Amino acid sequence: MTEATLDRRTILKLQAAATAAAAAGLQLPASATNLPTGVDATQLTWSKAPCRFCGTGCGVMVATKSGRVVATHGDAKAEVNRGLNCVKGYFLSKIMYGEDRLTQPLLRKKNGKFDKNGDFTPVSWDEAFDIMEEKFKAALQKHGPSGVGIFGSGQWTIWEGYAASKLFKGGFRSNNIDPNARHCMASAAAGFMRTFGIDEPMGCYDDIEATDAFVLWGSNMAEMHPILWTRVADRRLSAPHVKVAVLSTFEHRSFDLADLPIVFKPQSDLALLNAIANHIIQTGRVNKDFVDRHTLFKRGQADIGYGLRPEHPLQQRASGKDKPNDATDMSFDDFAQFVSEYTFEKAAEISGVEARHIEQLAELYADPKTKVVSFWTMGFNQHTRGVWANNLVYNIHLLTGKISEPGNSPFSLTGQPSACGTAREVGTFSHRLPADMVVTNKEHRAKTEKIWNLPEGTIPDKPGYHAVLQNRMLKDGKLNAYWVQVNNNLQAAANCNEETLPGYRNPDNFVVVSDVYPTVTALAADLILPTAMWVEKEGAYGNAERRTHFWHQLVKPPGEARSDVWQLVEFSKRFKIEDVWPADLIKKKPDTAGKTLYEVLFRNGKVDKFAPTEVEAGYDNDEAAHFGFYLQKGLFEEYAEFGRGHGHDLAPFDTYHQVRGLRWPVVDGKETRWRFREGLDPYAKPGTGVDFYGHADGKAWIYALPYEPAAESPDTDFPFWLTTGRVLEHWHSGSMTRRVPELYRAVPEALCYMNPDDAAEMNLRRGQEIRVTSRRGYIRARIEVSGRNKPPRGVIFVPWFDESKLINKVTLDATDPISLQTDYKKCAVRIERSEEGSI
Amino acid sequence: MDASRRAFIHGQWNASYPEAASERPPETEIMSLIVQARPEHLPDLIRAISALEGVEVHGHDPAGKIVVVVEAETQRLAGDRMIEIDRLPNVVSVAMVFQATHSDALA
Repeated sequence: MTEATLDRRTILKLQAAATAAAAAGLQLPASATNLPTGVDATQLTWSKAPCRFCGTGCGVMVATKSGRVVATHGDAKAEVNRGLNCVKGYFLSKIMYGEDRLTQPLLRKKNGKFDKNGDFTPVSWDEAFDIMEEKFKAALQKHGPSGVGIFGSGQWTIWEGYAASKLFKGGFRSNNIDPNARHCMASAAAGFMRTFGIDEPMGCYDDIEATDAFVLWGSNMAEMHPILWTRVADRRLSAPHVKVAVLSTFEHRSFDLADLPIVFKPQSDLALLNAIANHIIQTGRVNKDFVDRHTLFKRGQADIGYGLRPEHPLQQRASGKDKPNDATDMSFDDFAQFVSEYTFEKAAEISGVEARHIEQLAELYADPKTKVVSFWTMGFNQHTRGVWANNLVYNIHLLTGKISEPGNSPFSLTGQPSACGTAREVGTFSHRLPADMVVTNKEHRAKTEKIWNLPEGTIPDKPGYHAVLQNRMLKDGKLNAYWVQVNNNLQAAANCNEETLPGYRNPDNFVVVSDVYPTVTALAADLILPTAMWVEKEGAYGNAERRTHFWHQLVKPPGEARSDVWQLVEFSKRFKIEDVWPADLIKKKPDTAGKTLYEVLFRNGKVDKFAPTEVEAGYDNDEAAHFGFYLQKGLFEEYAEFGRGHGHDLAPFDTYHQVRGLRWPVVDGKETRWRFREGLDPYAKPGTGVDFYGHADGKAWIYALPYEPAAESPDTDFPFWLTTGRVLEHWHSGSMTRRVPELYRAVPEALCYMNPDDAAEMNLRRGQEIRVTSRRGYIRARIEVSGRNKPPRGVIFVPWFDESKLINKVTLDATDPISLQTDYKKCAVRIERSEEGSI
Repeated sequence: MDASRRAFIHGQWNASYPEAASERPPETEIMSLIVQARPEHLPDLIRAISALEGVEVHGHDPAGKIVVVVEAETQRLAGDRMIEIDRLPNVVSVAMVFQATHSDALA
């Protein structure tokens, strides 16, 4: 090694230390902070981008050299993470360079032509779109618009989700579009709509530094949102009065920081939440002025079923299954009466938590001097009563008035980088339109058709197939042409062996998967399209605190990989309006006759109004070069029309390329950190103090909802609860992180975490292979009894990132009947020794 | 595509990655971390972190933050160090701040 390199290495190390110290707010000796220009002097080009992984939405600085991403570091100017990155973020520069990156379209072929049982064979984009066109047209012919569908993602960029929604709802006239966010955020979204009439958190991450207590309801932030956890830990460690309560069905990493650790029985969170509401009322700590002025009480429909197929006995028995979202008015006294049965003793009996611990938890909420942030993710949302759990946590914040101000914040965290920005705000669900509108509302459809310049009656008035229903309809042969983008649903869908794979392999169906790596879903498809990812394209995401943030294309995608938005828009050229619309609809807008969907939806004088020259100098934009207009800007500006002036205001497109994101509504150039509070939110009307303007009456609705049991509970044949989830090192199904050698080596396989006493009783040792069997299927996995996750007796935990251990063969496809989101956290299993040689 | 779905589902596809990584040319990986712990655990933790090969503690504050720089011959070793630190007893959180690959960034 030469002298010069040594010097450079030292500089690099000092820069590393100084950057970390600055981020931590530490003073280092002058020699370290007094840096030469360091890495910046070595011909690297640095640009900003949000991280590709979770919904936290950290900012990173990305260095490119010779067309490759070579380094990243936390963006010190990003408010979310202030220069920090988590373990996964550290490996961001490597996720694009896995050895099995897909670089050309692959079609199953035998003897030179498409065959569902053929081998994957490289084809051109033309040939790929030829067969897709043929199959989509055949499906439209056979079933009409309901024969085609798309399953997208909370990892779609904003314009990708918008283009997909417009193509399917406006072009093909099919509402069969749903995102994988259905598995992740749907209960949170439905909870917001029911309580507030408008989606997404009222607060923001700034609440962390302003609060006195954190309560984690079914969220392992230490592993899933590590940077936010760093901020929580910083607040807890630097302000000794701050308390942290961690609630879960098993002990995990976040318990290390817990002042009040609580392990409860699966499903019993509903009883705990009602017991807290009861305690607040019984001890006279209701904020009466707030409740009188800003809330209404509603009795929610009970006994709503479990979202299973209609013939399932549990569905047949449920009296409220046809009207799960119904509610009737009630008084405060009625509500007090309703929750009065949830005493600490009763909640203790249902939950297995000691009554005095429930009381300590309830006091955090009840004490008017303590500001509280409640955080939750999948523990609440992946729940057959997930919407209820969301409603019930709002109840306790509303009864005490601890909401919509710094430090008092019920805060739903998100799993995906744009579950909020794309899935929810753009409305890529089977029932939604942009800006919280829905397909079942005539005015909403009319407004959408006006902005899209489509004839009245284009958008169907019924919700399409949602995520779980798409799989059932594929299996039943009713959905024949299906496109999957940016997700790995064969690994992610519950009961995948019985309800998902059969649909993909059904000979009536043609399944297209766009992805960057050969996931299990891609390998089960008929056609694989290679996709550009992250900084290989210009993008925009929206994080959990309503922050919209952008990035530029920084490198070229490999081979023939193309972005999802390119794929969607290019494919639209294959359809004449006559192929997809009936004559009477075309007659309402005669100028659409003879045009392609591309010309009607995208090259339409509106989406194409910005020239490629408007792309910021110094950056590529492959789509602008290909289509001849600045596609992303055109799509974004059209999309922004939906929300401006209606509480969802977005800033002008170009602004987002300059700033580290802005939290909507952005009014007069200013972002909004706390909504609904007069003085903090420009939409809160003067004189109201607090204005829950999502509902026409300006009030938030408090729901009376009971504890009801899970769809499936342990019994003598299947004596264990199975709960699934993630680990720190792997994000979601592992399709990116398992291609990073360091992360793969750190956690190569999914383990079955179980209680040491249960293992001892069954004479099982750590490391031994066992079978986890439910009524639906089984997997084999090794036992871990002393790892980072410590289940109580009777509960096992298996993460789902490992495609060699498809735990979703075992899980149950029961869903919340309101949000239609699957409960991945509760089903009944038995554990057996794995027999050698059995499969 | 030389991996069958069966091989893939049984994990044999991914199993080749660590080997493939070890065949890459040597490089120097440098990164910095902020480690958080409860203050009462700081002295023990700083000792434990400093004992790891290629790992230096560059400072700490009394509330429980430690600035750590990791230098390793390969990305793989650097990754291992980081995960080792993350798994030390009483570590509340580990956050990465800076990462660069010496051969890429400075060649």
